[in-house]
Amino acid sequence: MSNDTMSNNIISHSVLRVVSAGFYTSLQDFGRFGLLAAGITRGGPVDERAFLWANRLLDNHYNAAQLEITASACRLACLAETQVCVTGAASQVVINGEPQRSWQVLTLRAGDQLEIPPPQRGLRSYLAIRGGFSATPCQGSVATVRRDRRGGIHGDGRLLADGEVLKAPLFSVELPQRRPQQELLAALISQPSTPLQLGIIASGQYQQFSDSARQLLTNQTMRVSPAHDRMGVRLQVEQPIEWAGEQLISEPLAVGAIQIPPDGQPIVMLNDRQTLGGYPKIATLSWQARCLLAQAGSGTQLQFYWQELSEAQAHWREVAQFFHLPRSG
Amino acid sequence: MNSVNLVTAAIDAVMVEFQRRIDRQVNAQVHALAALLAEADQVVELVPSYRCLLVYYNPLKHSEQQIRELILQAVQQPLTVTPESTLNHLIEVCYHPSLALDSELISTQTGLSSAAQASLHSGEDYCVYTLGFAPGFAYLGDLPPALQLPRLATPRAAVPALSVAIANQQTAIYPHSSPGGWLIIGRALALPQLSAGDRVRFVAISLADYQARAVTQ
Repeated sequence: MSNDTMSNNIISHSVLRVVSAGFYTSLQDFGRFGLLAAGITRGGPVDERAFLWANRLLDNHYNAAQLEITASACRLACLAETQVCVTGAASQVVINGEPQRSWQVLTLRAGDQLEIPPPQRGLRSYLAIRGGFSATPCQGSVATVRRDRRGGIHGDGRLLADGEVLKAPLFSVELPQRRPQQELLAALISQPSTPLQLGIIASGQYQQFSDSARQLLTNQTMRVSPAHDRMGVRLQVEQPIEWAGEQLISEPLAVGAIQIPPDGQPIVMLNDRQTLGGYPKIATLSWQARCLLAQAGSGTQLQFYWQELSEAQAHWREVAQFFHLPRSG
Repeated sequence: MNSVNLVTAAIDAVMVEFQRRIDRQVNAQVHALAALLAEADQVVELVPSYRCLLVYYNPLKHSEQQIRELILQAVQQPLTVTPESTLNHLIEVCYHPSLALDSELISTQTGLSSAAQASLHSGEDYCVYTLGFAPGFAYLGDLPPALQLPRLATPRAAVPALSVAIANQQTAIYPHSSPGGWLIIGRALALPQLSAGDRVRFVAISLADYQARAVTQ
């Protein structure tokens, strides 16, 4: 039930100093699993696809810790030669004033200035380092969950702050400066004009919602409201989704679940979601849909479409095999 | 023979639903089933609540149908009640409207004065049914019927830490500041570590007492 642990024998060195952390930058490994019964949520990268690609390109374990940088620039100074990879929303990386490609292995030398610029579109960028950032795990994980006061480099859920020094193992042999063959920037970034298409499976109280409520979930375009964070995303709909059933007794809540509160404006639960919730759930996002929503800022238009469970699972199985994942969210 | 309903919760999780009520017997069945399934290799993680058990599995290894069959086999067995813990906690709460952010709303909906809310809420023995929502967040029941009200239509963005809140038959204390949709009826002085099965009683304290002692926390 717990994460594979990285070897504790690897000696870590100071490799990066945070010059300017940005608005919401946190250390994340794949997440803190197995503790939901104690009310402890998962954390981990909201855009798992971007996170997993960065680790894969660097030959890292899938769980190696990275920085998740949200909606702003992040600047760092290099203290020792290392290799990094930036994925997610950032369309480029700046090293000593020179633009470089994101989604590619880059070499840094001591004294280099690294900047991950604010995303032009999309929301979250990932900075991975070869070997992963080192920190003392808190209940098996370094994933930062501010609300739960767990994880991060201090172990108490704090975000990254200016001036802090990040550690990682050093390597004597460089990796090639490779990048994925396919174009992997999220659909949101490449096609901003069309609504995001997000696959969902029927779940929770689906059977108790009326036909018209089920249809309204997929037959209208929705918008991401300003109320979105790592815990969840509130959506705005013109025609509210109506729940005519009784109030629920609070029950366990899965990542990706779409809750319908009494105002009929759906809330999609993300990685830092509470472990139990009392609003009815009509559907749950597919893995792919969660990764797309991870890059959707306020005002982003989106539309849901129904998927069969078997189809959503088949896609996840491919992902899990490709990235060597032991389990899902 | 126990009757349960199974529903898909996610691509890797099935929800087991027992009888739809907040009841110690029902809750004990949930925990008994969790204890049985914890032994099964097919199960990745279990999340018990009042009347539901969320069962995570690995879709790389098992189909949802296989997990449904595993659960249906397990519920054929008698789900014996585990012995209840007898730990008792006294939690001091200030019910003054300056801290009970929904005191007025509760008054409007029930006709109860602030003092009457305090006396009703602190006049009951509660049982810890489950933990969840956030680390250390314990769900207590049952509230007296006169205080049973629905949640807020739109959740609050930030509920202050140690707020004592109510929703339907339930009451709880927010361990830390977080978003939440429950009605806030008071503020606890401190929160002991609670476990499922514990008993809790609230003790009303004055605003002056709260202010004098909360400062030193």
